[in-house]
Amino acid sequence: MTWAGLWYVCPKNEIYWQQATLDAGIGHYADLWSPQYLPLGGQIRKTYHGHTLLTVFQDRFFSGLFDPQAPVPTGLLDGHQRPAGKRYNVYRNNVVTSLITALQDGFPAITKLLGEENMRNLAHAYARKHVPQSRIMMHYGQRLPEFIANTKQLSNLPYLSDVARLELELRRSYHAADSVPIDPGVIDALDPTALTITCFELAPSLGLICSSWPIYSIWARAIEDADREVVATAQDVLVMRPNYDPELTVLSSGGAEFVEQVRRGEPLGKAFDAAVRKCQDFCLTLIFEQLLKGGAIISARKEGG
Amino acid sequence: MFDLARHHPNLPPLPGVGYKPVHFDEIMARSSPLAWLEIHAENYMGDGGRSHAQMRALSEYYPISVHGVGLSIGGEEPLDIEHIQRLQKLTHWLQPVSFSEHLAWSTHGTEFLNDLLPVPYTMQTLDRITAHIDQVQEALKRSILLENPSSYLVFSQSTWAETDFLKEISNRTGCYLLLDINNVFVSASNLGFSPTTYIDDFPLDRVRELHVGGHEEDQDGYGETLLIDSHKCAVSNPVWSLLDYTLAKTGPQPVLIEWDNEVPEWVVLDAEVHRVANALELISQPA
Repeated sequence: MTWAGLWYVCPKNEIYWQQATLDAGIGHYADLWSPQYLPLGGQIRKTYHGHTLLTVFQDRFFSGLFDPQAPVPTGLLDGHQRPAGKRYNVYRNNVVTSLITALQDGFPAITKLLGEENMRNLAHAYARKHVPQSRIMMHYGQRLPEFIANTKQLSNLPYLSDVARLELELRRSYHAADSVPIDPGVIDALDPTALTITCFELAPSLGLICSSWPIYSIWARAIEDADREVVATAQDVLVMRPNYDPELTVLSSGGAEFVEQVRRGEPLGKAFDAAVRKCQDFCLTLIFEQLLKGGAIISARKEGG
Repeated sequence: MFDLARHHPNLPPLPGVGYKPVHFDEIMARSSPLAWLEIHAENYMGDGGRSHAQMRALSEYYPISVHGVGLSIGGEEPLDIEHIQRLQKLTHWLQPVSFSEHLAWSTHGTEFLNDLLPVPYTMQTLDRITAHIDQVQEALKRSILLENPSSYLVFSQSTWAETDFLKEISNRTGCYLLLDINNVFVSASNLGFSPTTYIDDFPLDRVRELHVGGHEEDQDGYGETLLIDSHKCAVSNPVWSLLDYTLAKTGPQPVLIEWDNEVPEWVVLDAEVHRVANALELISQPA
């Protein structure tokens, strides 16, 4: 098809210009907007394909969605040909409310720790600054830990950012690929020498969050038991998903170093050395018990094999 | 054109619900006239876990309809190839009976707005939307269904009636239509037209699925009632009547209850399922 001599409206400064005759094949729209067609001062948007693209009604409609003070875009009417006015707010409300709800649902511990109203305000501020960059809303809020850390009013809750990281990891684990745990007999059959040169593959649902705050205690108090005592120690937390529900395990000292090495594909001997460097009393049996119970070891191979 | 019926069985002309994981046990018990399920495509685009396992189990017993909210078919930008690939992956492992999307846009540049935004009805948008639908149908190797929107406003630049616009899209692309009865009622109330006239004007021969859902009342800036398509309450009586009116013209159709927010206990949703079953039975009986 051919789009000939269409007029396009530049949303910001109302400059009009004529678009040359265009051959608009499917999937090639982006190629049409080569720079020579762009007027000076026109608003240019990057598409996700990296091409520049000018949009018409969409840009106008989008322009006021995140700014309640912005004027309602022109050209929108009610059923009686009157300016749509407040009716545009339905879309403003829908967009912002859906993003706030997604964040509240995705960060239940943060919501509990802050209280509903504070969370709504935080989520609103976040949504305005970080509109989703993906259509897969189950992963929305990736930058909330950083956003919390940079929010001055929350500086009296320095652990909050790490709790948000933990909640992101819980969600990632929940939706991670399924895997089949290794038969523990395979590990039992290895003699100590063979073990040191064995590399273990860990489940895609395994996650590790290290913190200088007692994040497990804080999370559990918010989610599971309001009377729970919060310990005054740093906690490294392992996320594992033995079935469909991710579970949290607090690691003893050296555990995080061990898991990081194993996950990187290093043989057991090297992982053990890293853990012992951190903690002389590091217990190999305990970490194996924890990983096996969580269904987190899925295969074993000899180093280089 | 791709013929849905040739490659995939149709959804049964019986009640369906928008699936919510909280109802898994009750739905697996199969003690309801419920005959099929609809899911939002994007909620099943993770890599695994419970949502996939539940869907594998449910699809043993229920035909599944996949309803996309993220393609942005009405958008001015090219469709996102990666998103089409995700849909290909999902339809490959789940083998849904039906795939539907909206006459709407939901992305702007790299940003996803998580809502269905309205499209002006012009020759330009018509060309673009039909090209997008052709592209999706090519990629998914099937006819898709396109759903009519709920409207709160209109564009001064529109030159087509919505029913004609949908008919033309369907004629050009071979896609079928999903007629959302609640959306018709909401739009008719908000824009001041007759819902039955809209149904009369709708290309009913292209319809392969109906939706009903709940709406709420608000007010616009002129103090007039504005209905909001909220999907968080029971279907209202006028919408049930409009369903009856439509079914009398179309004959039996798959009818879905949409209740997406403030999801009730199964017993409440099941009552709506029974109500749809009754409506379908009424028109199946010889006069």
